Amino acid sequence: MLANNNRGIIKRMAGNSLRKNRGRNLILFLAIVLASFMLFSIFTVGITYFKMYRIQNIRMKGGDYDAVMYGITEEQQKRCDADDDIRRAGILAVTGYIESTEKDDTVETSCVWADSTCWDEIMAPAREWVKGRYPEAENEVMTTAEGLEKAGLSGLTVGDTFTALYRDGNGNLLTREFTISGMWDGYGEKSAFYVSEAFYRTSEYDVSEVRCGRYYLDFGRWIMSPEEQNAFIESMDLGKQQAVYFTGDMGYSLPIFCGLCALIFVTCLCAYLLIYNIMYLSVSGNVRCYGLLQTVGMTGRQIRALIFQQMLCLGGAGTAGGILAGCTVSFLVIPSVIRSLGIRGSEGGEIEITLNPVVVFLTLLLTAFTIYMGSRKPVRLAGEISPKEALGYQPSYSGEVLRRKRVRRRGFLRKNLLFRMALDQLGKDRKKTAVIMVSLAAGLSVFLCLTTLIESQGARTIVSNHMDSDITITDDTLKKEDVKEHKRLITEEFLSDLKALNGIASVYPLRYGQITVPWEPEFADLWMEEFYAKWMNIPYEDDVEEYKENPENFGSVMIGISEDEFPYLQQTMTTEIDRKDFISGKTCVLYRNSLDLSEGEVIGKNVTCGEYGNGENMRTFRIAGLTDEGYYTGPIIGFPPTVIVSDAAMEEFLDDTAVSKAGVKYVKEYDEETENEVLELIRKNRDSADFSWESKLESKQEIERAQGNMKEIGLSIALILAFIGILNYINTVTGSIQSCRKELAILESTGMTDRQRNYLLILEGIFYAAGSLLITATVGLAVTYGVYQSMNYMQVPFEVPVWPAVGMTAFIMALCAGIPVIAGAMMIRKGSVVERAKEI
Amino acid sequence: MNKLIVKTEGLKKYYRLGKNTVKALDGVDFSVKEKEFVAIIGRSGSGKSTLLHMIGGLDSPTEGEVYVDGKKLSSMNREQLAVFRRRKAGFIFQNYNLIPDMNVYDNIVLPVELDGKRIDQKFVKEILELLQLEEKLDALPGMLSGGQQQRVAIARAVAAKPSIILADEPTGNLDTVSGHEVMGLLKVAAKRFQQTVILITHDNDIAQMADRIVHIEDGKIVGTYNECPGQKDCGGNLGHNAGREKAGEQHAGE
Amino acid sequence: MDWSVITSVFAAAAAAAMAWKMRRLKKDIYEFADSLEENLDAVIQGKEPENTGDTADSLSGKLNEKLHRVNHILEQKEQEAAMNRETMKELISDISHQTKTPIANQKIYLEILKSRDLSADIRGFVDRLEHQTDKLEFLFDSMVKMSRLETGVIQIQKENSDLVETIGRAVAAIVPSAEAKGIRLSVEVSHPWEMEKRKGTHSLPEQPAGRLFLCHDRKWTEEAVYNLLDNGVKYTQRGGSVTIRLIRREIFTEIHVRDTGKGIAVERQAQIFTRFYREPEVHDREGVGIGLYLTRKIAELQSGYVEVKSEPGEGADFCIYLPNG
Repeated sequence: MLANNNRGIIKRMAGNSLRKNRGRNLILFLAIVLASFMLFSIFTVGITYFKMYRIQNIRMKGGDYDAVMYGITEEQQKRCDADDDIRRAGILAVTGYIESTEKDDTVETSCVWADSTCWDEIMAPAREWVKGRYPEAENEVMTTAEGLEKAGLSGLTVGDTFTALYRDGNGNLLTREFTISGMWDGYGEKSAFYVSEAFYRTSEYDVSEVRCGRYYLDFGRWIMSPEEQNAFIESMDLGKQQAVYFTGDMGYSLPIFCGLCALIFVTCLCAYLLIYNIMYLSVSGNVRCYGLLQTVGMTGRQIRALIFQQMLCLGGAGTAGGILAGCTVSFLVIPSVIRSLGIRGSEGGEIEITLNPVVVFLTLLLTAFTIYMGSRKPVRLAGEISPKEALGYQPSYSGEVLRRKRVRRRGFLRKNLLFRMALDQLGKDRKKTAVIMVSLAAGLSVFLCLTTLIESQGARTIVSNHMDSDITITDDTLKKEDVKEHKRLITEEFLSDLKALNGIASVYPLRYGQITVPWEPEFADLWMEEFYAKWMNIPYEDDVEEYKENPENFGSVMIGISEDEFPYLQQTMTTEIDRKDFISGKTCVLYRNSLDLSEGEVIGKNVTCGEYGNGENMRTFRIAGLTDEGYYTGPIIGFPPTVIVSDAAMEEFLDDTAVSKAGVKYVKEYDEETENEVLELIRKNRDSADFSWESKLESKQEIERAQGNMKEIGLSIALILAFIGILNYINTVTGSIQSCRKELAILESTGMTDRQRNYLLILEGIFYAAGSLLITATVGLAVTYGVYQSMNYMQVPFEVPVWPAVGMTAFIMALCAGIPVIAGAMMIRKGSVVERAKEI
Repeated sequence: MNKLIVKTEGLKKYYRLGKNTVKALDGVDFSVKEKEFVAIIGRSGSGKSTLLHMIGGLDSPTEGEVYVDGKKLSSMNREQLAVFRRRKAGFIFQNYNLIPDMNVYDNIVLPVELDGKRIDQKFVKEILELLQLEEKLDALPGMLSGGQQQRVAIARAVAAKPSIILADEPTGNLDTVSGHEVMGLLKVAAKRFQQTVILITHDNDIAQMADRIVHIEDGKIVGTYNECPGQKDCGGNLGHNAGREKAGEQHAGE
Repeated sequence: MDWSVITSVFAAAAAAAMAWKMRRLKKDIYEFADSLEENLDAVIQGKEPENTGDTADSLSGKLNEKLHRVNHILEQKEQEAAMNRETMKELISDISHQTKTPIANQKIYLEILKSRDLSADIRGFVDRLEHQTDKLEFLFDSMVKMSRLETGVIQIQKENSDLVETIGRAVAAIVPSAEAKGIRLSVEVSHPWEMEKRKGTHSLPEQPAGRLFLCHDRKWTEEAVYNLLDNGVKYTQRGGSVTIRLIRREIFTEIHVRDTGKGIAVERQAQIFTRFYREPEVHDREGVGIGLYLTRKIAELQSGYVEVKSEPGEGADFCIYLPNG
């Protein structure tokens, strides 16, 4: 049957009702605005973040790939083709090095060939424009303006030719005239000259060589777990020198994604709770009214339509407002948010905000869904009100008669009437009480989580120095090849000046001296073999003769550490070594340098070192262990092992030692004053430019800068959610005080003073606060812990920032206690005791 | 002559209360002719409110049937009953029950608007004139006196031209004089617009203004008079057969 | 990116078009129902329904034609009824007219008879004959009045004039019979409601002392009050009193006629207002028994009503309530 067209009256009544309940509707409106604003912002942030993340990665890598394999054989290529997981794969081959051109003879530009998959598909996203075409003939090249400049050929463009000398795979120096067939610009390897396949074929290079071929793999997936990555590596059956590296973005953005999802959920939850509560209260407060309407002839369906109409207005206006607010704010705030989530603007290009209509749609949908869920039950309730009961007609003996049991309460509770009354009040409508506590707790938990994460952001993401030293000062001159340029800046004087500064706790100088390791079959031979296998292109056999003959052509470094530093060294090793032996000079530790050697293969063996330049001075140490800590290396790393001994032993052994770097610890961490004094000391030195340092304080400051407004933003998010919870609370409290006003007035008329009444209200408020704090402290804390640990790469211990937590507790207590009192006072102003008790 | 607009057959309403059963109505056969003005009188707890609720579709009986304007109420569901109330029954309550945030005019035309009907302006004007409410059209119920509010309630009840008007202690919250005047208006309105009125009261004087008085006690009808015997309290001892006459009959002159 | 956007745009457009079409359809249906309702209302009130679209090939057009026919049928019925009434009226008029002459003649002859010398018992019979003739005449008069009443010929013409004056005229008419029985008459006027006038909500013209302005029909109200007074005098014994009190309340003005007569038994308090009802005791006196009926009718036609309060032996208080409007 066609419905009756009585919409007009419903719309008018809805309008009336909206006008009348301004307070309640304002709260609802605010909540919806906040919720949709949050949702909109989160979605925008999410989408923008992921998009930018991807783009940044592509640009930094120079292409859209997930892994790169160094050296690729035919066999391996076939296997990759057959692998369904791999969406596409392209080859980039080094085909030569240009050593000089017409204008410049100190060029070191590489020539690379990119096959069609690599150039057209994988590298395309990183390019901005292309002029001309990719080289096809042997003598064609493609490059960027930068590349041309580096080769001294700036100003040339497509179609121009130039002559260059280049070295091919066999080491031959050849001349050729090249034509520029195309130019491009964008991100990636910009200084190389791209050549054709034809050129590659003549270049005496082959892709199966590690020095030449790079196989870029694009897996079709978002995420590959470490197990899957390893499985793939296994399946490739890599050759000795081959390696597969997975680029870092897999699995990395998952925490952020989950975090955003969680925020969405919490927002919706808070809004849902608020809406549910308000609607429920409003309906149950208007039961009489709805019953009356039913007697006048309003059907249940019409009543539902009435409420629905109101919610439509409020919801529509609120969502529109929230989205608008979101739009305006996004343009201002989101760039800084994205930056602090880890995307650096400058390297990856400018951050573009993505204003997707999908986002608007999603926000609308989700907000509408939340509103619908929140109002569903109350609306149904309204429609089912029986007019007879609503009008207050009860048959004189209705239904069940509740017998009031005389509860025997013990001691204090029995005596304290107000306490009992407060508890009773809470127990009356358990569901409502629970809803409020949960909603408050949700906001508080988010606050807790965010503050914890943000506070520890610094600690968790700082890559700290070895030994957690506050500053490590390095003498850069020692890195230079020409010995004449070594200045030996870190002198005793310098060190003692350093130690003398205020706030310095300790200084750990690292000495080094040059040594040789003559060939011997037990250990040195083994070491060199492994070294060549790992790091060198030429086989060990080629050089072994020379090594045996002239070990001084294969120099290395010996490191001497102070006794104080020994524990730190020990920490970096997996095996425990005897301290006395080490200090006395009997044993040494070697720097593994990523060789394929395990502790078992070398421990116990002897390594004999000779002083560099003084072949007769030899000393043998027993190898006690291996370390992977790169701190314990000298300015250069030689072919033979870097030998680490105690400084006393080194003093005995070598004449010529120098301090390459010094680690400094302050009395107080991050002591800015002390740091300034240290820096001042360095600056006063006449060779200050040749010093370099790594400061923990600077890292921290840089991170804080990068964090940008993260703290503020995190705080605002938490505040918004908390605010929704608070709105809920305010509304409920005012509502319940309104409905209790008759009872309160009666209490007043029987002699309850203002103070006692306030006490009662405050007690109730404190109960609410306590309940929600309890939920926060248990559930909220657990969730925070979980999130924290999942983001805790550095294994920083879990710590809740004390002051914010305390502040939050105090604030909530004050709020929960204060609002009822204010509401009560306002109620008093409205009328005298008698009027209020009369129930108008 | 006039057809029966309300008819109940063996109406019973029992409530369970633990082990006891309370019989609010215990077999009531009650009927009202068109255009009659009937008063139901009895003490509190006698079942008069319950009877009114049954007739108005606000409550359903344990046993028995109610027919209003030929329709059986038990065959209607909630929505249908609401529509029934909208079109067939006008309610007047002791505490007026006006919608507080609508003005007088809106309150009066509410049932009509709920039905999506066009408002017959002439008719509404007539009602307003009759009830002397023309100057109060824009007032909110909060600004009116009890008597004025009840007049608005009467106007609302009449505006939708229902078949029956059900009044539940309409003068209960009014002082004697206002109550009397309100009753007068109700009578006049009923007469003018040819409505049937069923009224509940415990006040003898009020009841006397009706055409017929029905006395209910302990859930049963115990007497039907053209007017109540002279005692103030209409309960208690009654000569049940004293002067009883059948309703609606009219005697010729001599 | 492209395909999904295009399809979604198309889908959205299609959905929007459908929604708009549905809205239009709904609007059309509502309009149709509304216009039908309007026309039905017109027919109910006896007016011509709108005949726009009579020839239009639409749903409304189809129904309008039928509505017109219904309207015609109703009109015809009304005309028939009116004609019947007219016929009746004429018939009654004719009958009364016709009966005037025989009755007049009867009276003449009775007069003549009376003027002759007659024996006592014959005189007695003649007297009774005269009495009955008078009664017959009175009956016929009343019949005419009543027929006029029933056919709605009574036209109430309200005007704002002094009720006291109207009462005065009624009282004047009853004075002779009251004096004849030695019954005391008195008139009171009070405005209790005015004394408690609420602040600012109502402004009434101040009533000059001793006067009471009310919107009423002077002729018929006078008749109504006269009937009450007549009854009061009739049923009150010698030396009793009949008091007239005018009380102006908030909504009604009350015209009380209180007598100290024999009162009315409760069971009969409803019956007395019926046509031709006469108390058993007064069969011998004049009257037909329509006085109270008429009074009530007049009150109702002025949107008022009549109530009686009485107990046997305590007299009776009849009250006419007229609205102040």
